Amino acid sequence: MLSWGKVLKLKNYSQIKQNKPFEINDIFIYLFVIVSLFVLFLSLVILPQKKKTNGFAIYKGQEIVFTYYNDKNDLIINDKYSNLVNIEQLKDGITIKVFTSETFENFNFIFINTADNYAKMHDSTCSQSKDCVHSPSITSSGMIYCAPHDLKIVPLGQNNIPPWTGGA
Amino acid sequence: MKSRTYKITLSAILTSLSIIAFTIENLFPPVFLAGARIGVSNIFILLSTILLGISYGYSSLILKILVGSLFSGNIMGIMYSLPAGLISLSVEIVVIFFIKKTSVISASIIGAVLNSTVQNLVFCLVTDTTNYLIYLPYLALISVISGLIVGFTVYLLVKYIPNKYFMQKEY
Repeated sequence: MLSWGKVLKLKNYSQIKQNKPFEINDIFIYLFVIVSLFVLFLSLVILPQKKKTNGFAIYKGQEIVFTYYNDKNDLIINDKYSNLVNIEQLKDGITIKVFTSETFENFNFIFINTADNYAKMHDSTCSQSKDCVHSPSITSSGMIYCAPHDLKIVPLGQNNIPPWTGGA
Repeated sequence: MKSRTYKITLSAILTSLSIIAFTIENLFPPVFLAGARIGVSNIFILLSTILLGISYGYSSLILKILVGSLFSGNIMGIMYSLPAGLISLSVEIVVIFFIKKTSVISASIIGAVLNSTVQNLVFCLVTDTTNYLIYLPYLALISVISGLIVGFTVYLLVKYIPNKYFMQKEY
């Protein structure tokens, strides 16, 4: 009886065991990877025009929580989240602590540098790995996203995220 | 042919090692970018696939993602890891078992690149924004390095593991 492995002509274990670190058909795979990397860098990093951002917005889900406008040095908090947001103005920027609920146990701690115009997640109680805290700071592009708290920080005017002028 | 019990036991050991590696990796900060990891747990997934067969590889992968995410406290990660893991393992299986004259290292590299690409795309779909796409080239570059490390380790293990541990003697 013919096994499905023989029908599909799969490699058997001895062929896999005798593999060298580099085989002839690997060239095509490596070429594909190199071309893909080149196309990705060209289309996403080198070619796009970097627009200077006017500030940053913090979203919880689809709702905006906080907006900072760099040119006017103005900040707007959504009334719905006013009791969950603590803001402190420092010499070189603003720190924003966003709590996830009324229990005030879990939070995200964000720093916006007003002089150099960048935003960074400084601390969070989201998970052990704290991926959002280790994300690079954002300037005119990119995003910082805290998945467990569904919180995102984006530069203003990027990718259909309109600047918000106030109100709930 | 080894008994089914022997296969299941070996599969359980490899899956456990994969979960342990996944959990420990999540305790460390990411490599340069959020979500970037070396992927040591994939060594045991690939090993399970080559030693035991394709179905055992898939089971180990699904269990690793489900249990590992629970242990590391990052349940949201299942949404990104599961589709990415399934697609990358499928491509690795095609390269290792179906295409002649290819090495485990190249399979691991292309699997790693696909893994990070799919994770990034799913992430953009979930967050409903394309802002995170700017990190995709850098994630793909880091994946090449991690794929190389994982692939080379698996190559050495497969080369020096005694024949008696290869459950799938021939098809």
